[in-house]
Amino acid sequence: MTSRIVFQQEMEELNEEVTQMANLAREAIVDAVECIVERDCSRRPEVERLDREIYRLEQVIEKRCLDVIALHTPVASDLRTVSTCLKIITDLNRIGRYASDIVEVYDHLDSFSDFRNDVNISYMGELVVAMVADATRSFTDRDAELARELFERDDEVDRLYEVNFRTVLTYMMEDPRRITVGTNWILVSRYLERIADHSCNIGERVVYMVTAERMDPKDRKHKNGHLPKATEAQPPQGGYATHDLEDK
Amino acid sequence: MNRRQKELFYFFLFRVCALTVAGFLVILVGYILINGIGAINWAFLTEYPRKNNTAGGIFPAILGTLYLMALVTLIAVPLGVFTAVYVTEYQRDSWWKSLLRIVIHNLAGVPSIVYGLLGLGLFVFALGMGFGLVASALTLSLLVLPLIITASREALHAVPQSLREASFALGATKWQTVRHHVLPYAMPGVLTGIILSVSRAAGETAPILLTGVVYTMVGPPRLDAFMALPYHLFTIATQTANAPQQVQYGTALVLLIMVVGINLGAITMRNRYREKYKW
Amino acid sequence: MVEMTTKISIKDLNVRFDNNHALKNVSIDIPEKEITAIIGPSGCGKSTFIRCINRMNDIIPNCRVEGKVIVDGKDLYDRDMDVVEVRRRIGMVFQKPNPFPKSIHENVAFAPRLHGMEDGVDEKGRAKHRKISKGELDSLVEWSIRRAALWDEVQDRMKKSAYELSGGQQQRLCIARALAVKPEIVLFDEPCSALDPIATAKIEDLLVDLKKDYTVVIVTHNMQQAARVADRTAYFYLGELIEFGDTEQMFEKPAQKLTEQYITGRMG
Repeated sequence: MTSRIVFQQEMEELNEEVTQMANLAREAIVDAVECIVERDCSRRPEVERLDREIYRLEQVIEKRCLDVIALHTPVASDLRTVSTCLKIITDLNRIGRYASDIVEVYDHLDSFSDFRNDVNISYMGELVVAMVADATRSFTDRDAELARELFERDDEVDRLYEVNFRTVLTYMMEDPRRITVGTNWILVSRYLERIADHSCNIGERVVYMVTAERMDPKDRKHKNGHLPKATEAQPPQGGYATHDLEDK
Repeated sequence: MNRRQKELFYFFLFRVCALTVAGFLVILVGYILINGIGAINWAFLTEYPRKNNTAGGIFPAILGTLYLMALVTLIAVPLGVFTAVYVTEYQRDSWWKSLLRIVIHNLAGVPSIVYGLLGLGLFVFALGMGFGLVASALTLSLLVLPLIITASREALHAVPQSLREASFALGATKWQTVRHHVLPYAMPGVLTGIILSVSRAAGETAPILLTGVVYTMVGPPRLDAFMALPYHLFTIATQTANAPQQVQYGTALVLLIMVVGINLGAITMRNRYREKYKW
Repeated sequence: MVEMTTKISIKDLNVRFDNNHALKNVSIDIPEKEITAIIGPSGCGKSTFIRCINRMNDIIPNCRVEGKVIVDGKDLYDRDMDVVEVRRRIGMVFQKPNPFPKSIHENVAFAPRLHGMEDGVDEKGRAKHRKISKGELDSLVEWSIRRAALWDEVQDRMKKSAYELSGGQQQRLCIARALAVKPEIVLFDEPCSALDPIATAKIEDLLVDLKKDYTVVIVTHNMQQAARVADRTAYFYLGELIEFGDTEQMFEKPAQKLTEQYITGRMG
């Protein structure tokens, strides 16, 4: 094993970089939602810049993770942290992409006036931004409880998506000239819903990082979000945990 | 004086010492050789002494010394080596070991004449063996026992513990380990001790003086009377009138050759063991 | 890993050297035909523990052992247990290779010649032995050396001194020597710590092969080695058994905080 100090420094830098990437993703989403809701897309180039930066960070962080694994052979909590970082950067990268996709749609959303769903998008946007922020915080604070709460909030976002979808569908059926706008509106809803899903993924990985629990695939619901498994820790299988030293 | 000069000076000093010692040895051997070689012939070595030891040969003395060496080997070697084995391999109590070490060191320092007296009192009289080969051999054995024990102990200690552990881990008993591993590997050291001891025994005069050596004989050595080279040399050099000088030096030369010869033989045996168990 | 037959059952093992309480109330069940690794920092009692299994601690003068070490239903520390038989059934390979300064053949042949071949049982149910013939001995030596993955390298110099071999080869010779008496359990006390990485890798491969037929217990200070090779791992600290479990489980999420501290290197 190489130097403990070098290893610790690497882990700290890894943490910082992932946090930075998460903050950028959140910023991108905030800007993108603002763009759609306030109809002010002056920040579009910023969003695109953020997306590129997020992509670059994913490459950098992936390399750092692999270096740590090859050189320092982390185990136990360190290993779980590294594997979590490797996976959530994918989710964060996707969030960045969706943010950029949302501002692209802006060009096609000119005739808003008679569209009554802005309220929902604005509310949905708020929820999603909060979820991204909390997913980030659960990672930096190593807070498994906060991570678990994300799943229920995702249910709400999914519900809003369903509502949006039906409303816009009805709207489009009333007037075929609204199809372009309507479809784009559905796309925006879809992007927001996917961002919420990715935030949930991040939450799931954080739960694993902190508690070593993995989600039971049987409980994974497809449409309405996921339910976490029971919160009490599983006893290790096969061997046996011995007496606690505190008991003496 | 600077460092280099000091270095040269001390080196010179040491070399002078070594050469002095070597010089003495050369002078000793050379002197005896030159003065005694003339006396050596077949008659000298195989005939019995005549005319009060001033003429004839020294055959019984040679035989007597050989017998003594053989007996001492038979008595002291097993006794000494097995004691050393017991103390090193079997005895674990530290107080026992310290006691034994003190006893042996003190025994090694006892003057040989005292051993002679002990032999006289214990073997000749108390145990009723009378004067003769047996009492002398026993006394000499006591004399060299500390040497053998110490040398054997050192040799046994030098065998690494890891080899013993390897043997135990295979399921060997202590005796099997000693017999197949420890003792064979320690042989070179043990043999060195034996060589030194037997040579020493061959050259001692005082112990045999008091326990059975005789002035002259016309037949071969018997149990109750024997001659020995060291004593014979002493008598013809100091007690006998008209003993030719050449005869005296000749006797000394024979003794020297015998001791050196036996040493060489034993060293060869030791080297053979070293080759066999190189470690 | 659910199915597990216990080969060695240790209960309340306590070892004291004069005033030093080296092992404290250790109880552990070692499974059959698996590799169990014992890890822990220096001085935690790993070597002392493993030496209790084949009663090598009996050799140390001021060592007191209490507790039971039960193999196949019999306590090895029972009064009428023959320690020689114990050590034949439980082999040991040491940290520094220690072949005898004899020929390669003789190193392996020594113990089988000593014990002889098994020849039925006596009235007390103990195994009887008869003298082993030269032919049987030679084929046994060849078998052992093959099993220790050393045959190809030494088959044409069996009469040469064992000290001419490299460190890794010497260690494999010691393994062959231990296998020659057909033990059921083989104990390894840090077998690779004196070897280079290639020799280490060969021995690790050998260990994985050996577990098909033998119960293997290995003490190692190299955690990666334990992770690579062992099915189960036990963590000792200051003379106590802190945790014992599946190696995968222990290296992913150890149950005890002390274990976590040690394996992530945050101890001391």
